[in-house]
Amino acid sequence: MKRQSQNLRVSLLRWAWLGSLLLLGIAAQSFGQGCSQCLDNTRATPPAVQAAYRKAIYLLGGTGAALFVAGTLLIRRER
Amino acid sequence: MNVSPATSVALAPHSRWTHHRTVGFGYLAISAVAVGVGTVLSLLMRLHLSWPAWSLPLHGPILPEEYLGLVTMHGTLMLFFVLTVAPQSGFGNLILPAQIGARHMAFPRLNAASMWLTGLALLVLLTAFFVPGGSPISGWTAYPPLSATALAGPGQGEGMDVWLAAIALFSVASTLGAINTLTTIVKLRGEGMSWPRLPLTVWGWFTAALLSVLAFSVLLAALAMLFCDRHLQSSFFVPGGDLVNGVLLQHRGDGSPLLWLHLFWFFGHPEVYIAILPGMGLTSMVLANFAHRRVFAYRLMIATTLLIGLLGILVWGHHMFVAGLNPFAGSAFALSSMAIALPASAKVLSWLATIWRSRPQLTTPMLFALGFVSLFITGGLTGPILAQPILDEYLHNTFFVVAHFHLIMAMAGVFGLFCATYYWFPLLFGKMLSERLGKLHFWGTILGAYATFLPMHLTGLAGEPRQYAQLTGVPGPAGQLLQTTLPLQNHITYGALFLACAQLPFFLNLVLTLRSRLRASQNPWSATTMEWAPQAADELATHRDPCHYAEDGVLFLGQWEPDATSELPPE
Amino acid sequence: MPPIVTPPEIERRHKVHESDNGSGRRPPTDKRTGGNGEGDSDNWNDRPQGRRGPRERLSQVRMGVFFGLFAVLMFFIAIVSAFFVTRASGHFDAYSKYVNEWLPTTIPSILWLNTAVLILSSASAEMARRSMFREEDVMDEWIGLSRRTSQRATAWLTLTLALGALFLAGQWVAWDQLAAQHVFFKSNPSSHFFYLITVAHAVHLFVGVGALIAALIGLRRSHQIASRQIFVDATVWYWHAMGLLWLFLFALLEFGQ
Ligand code: HEM
Ligand SMILES: [Cu+2]
Repeated sequence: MKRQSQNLRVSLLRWAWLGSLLLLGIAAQSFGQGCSQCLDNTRATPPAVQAAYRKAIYLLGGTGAALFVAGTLLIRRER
Repeated sequence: MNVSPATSVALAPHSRWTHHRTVGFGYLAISAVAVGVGTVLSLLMRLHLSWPAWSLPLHGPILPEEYLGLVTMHGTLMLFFVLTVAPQSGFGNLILPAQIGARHMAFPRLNAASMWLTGLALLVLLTAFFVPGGSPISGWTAYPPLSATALAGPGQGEGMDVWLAAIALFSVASTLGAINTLTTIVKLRGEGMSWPRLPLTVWGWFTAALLSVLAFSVLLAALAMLFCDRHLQSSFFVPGGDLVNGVLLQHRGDGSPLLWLHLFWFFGHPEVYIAILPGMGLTSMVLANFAHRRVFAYRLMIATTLLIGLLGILVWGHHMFVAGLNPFAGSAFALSSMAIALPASAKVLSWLATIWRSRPQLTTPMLFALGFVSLFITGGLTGPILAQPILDEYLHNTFFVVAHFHLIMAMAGVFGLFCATYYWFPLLFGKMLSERLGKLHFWGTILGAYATFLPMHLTGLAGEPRQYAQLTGVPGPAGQLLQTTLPLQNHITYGALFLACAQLPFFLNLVLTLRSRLRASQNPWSATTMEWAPQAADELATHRDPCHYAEDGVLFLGQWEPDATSELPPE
Repeated sequence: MPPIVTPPEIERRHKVHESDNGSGRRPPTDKRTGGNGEGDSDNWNDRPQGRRGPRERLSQVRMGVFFGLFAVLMFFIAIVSAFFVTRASGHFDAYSKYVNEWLPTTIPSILWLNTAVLILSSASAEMARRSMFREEDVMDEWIGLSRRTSQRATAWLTLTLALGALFLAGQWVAWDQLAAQHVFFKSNPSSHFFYLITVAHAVHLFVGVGALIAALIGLRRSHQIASRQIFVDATVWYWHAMGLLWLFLFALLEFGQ
């Protein structure tokens, strides 16, 4: 009896999680945000340039983060 | 075969000039000059904003371009030469080796070299006041195209070149210093000083140094490209066919200021964490010290320090929400920025939990640490607000942002520095700063800090823009709006003057204490970290985590003490 | 100020280092022969326990070099990200047509030769590094029987230095050739990057040449085999990194424009 109600609670919790994730997913915030000028600016930018910026952001952020992680992992070897 | 202690003394292992103590004081001296000049500049800005017609003695009225010069030099001095230099390099050198049970830094000569390079950078920067055209006017962020051409304003010629040179030197020096710090922490920890036993201050220094290594070289690359744009007519950051002050720029290609923003803020955001991480670590340790407790969730605090560093690399776009950034990129950066609030809140919770119901001992360093917590909360709350692109559309470039970063970075950083000064003064000088003057100093400073920077939220919400030389005499409804902020403006100015005067007890305290003969005891705060150990470093070993206090709050075990059969509960 | 109560037993730690000598990979003697120019780091007593041997000093310097290389890598990554953006960027002309001014810079073929030279120099640098760590010879040199390792390393490093100088000269020739074709820094966005990247790399290599010269001087002057090893090792790692970096940059310039 007690077991069952616990199971129920767990599954309810899981649904609550999924539900809130869904809500988060469709919230306005998870789409492109920014001022209309930025939007205009982006629309006036050819896709190739947008892709180039994306690539640059990934490259810069990715390398930075990778080196940071490498730096912290590196030190774990030292005692 | 074995060397007796006498010979090892005779061999005088370190020259005085490369000793980390000398280097540390050198860095602090650099910061002291910078903070002095920077403060005067900020007061001039405030006076000008409140009384635009006021004329500076021996100079005359402050012109708009001069106001922008003040803004630029103030920001550059404070952020680079005070908040980066003093906590990370200054106290890093003075305290770090002792705190990890080492006798020196890994590369003493490199260390000294980077200190002198930093000093040179400061000198070069200060010459900007005296070159033709005066100091640069494009702010500490030096956005192109205005920073890319001398046409943009009087200070953008030689003044801007001087700025570029100074910051380039500074970048190199900081990178070298950070390499030294990292190697010292990784390689020179004394016997028994395992990673989890490192004080959180050291973790702060470590993370900040790692960020410095990654961020400053990107800044250096950006500076080099800006230099090319200025002098070789390239167009990394200059759009094709750009008109500046009615003149068509003759640069080849279609660059974009957005590119500069990306590179600059890739550096800029880690930079603000470089400024604050050492203070965060120190706050944890000082709170625990005076609450006579363990730091709450010690391992988690190590993890959050590193996580803040890691996330700090990935959030730079939140400074560019209205700069023409792709809105989707904006959303991504908003998300990562708000993610950083998680480890930051975990830190705040740990600070609160550490002192919760502990009956802390309210010494001056403790007060400044509490002040740090307070400022970090007030300043931090506005962070996630600004991190929403929609809200930032309105708030960007208003005084709301100025309030945000002055509370969380400038004031919290300065409180961290004062906390460090009061806390480690007995260690550095063998004397205690007066508690009475210290408390006066603290209360004056926190009052002044809030009186100055809290109202900026309101004027910012009312629409007061950043970096405008004059708020009066603007025609139209905008002018009327600004007019309504004037009473608060004056309040802010008085607050700033008060804040500056509130530092007098500190200087008095320094002078009186240094002149007095009273010696402090060896470990006056009952501190547990290695720098307070009574032994010399080569006889030391670390035996436990920091902050080992007994329930009654009186007995404690330093990290250096071998396992004792005392009344303390075992670990 | 509360009373300061320390637990009763503050036992000074007994001096461990007296029994600590002669263990591990360290030589059986405290070889304090040096002193010129290395004054502060050849005193093993300066190191905390267990970290006094030459090995530790070597790994310290190595770690410093590696963190420095992090910074160098980020420097070039920043430039390369800008490269991608600028390569794609253009503007709309009067007819609302998107024009991209980027004209790929023809890479002088001498760069292939230079690349080969740089690879060779890296190989000879590695020979120098290896020879510094060949065990029997190092033992001999330790005892003072010979300076064979240092001599061999000097030879290899000199070769590296020559090849490195050849590379830099080759880069100079490449810039000259481009100038002869009227391709200058100013000519085009792609030439901005060509020059920026090659010059920035050359500057870094110049630092490497300086390090090579310093290492060669160190090999002659330093009285400690451990220090000599460090000079060579750190320089060579830096040199390798610059070589590797060049391979990437060259590939970018040759195929990525
Ligand atoms: C919860 C964490 C934080 C978030 C989400 C956050 C968010 C932001 C955002 C979105 C901006 C840009 C506002 C604008 O220009 O329109 C900003 C500016 C700024 N923040 Fe934060 N922040 C946080 C913590 C910090 C910390 C810890 C520091 C420093 C120690 C800091 C220092 C600054 C500075 C200096 C600026 C202004 C830079 C400038 O434009 O000159 N922030 N912050
Ligand atoms: Cu930021």
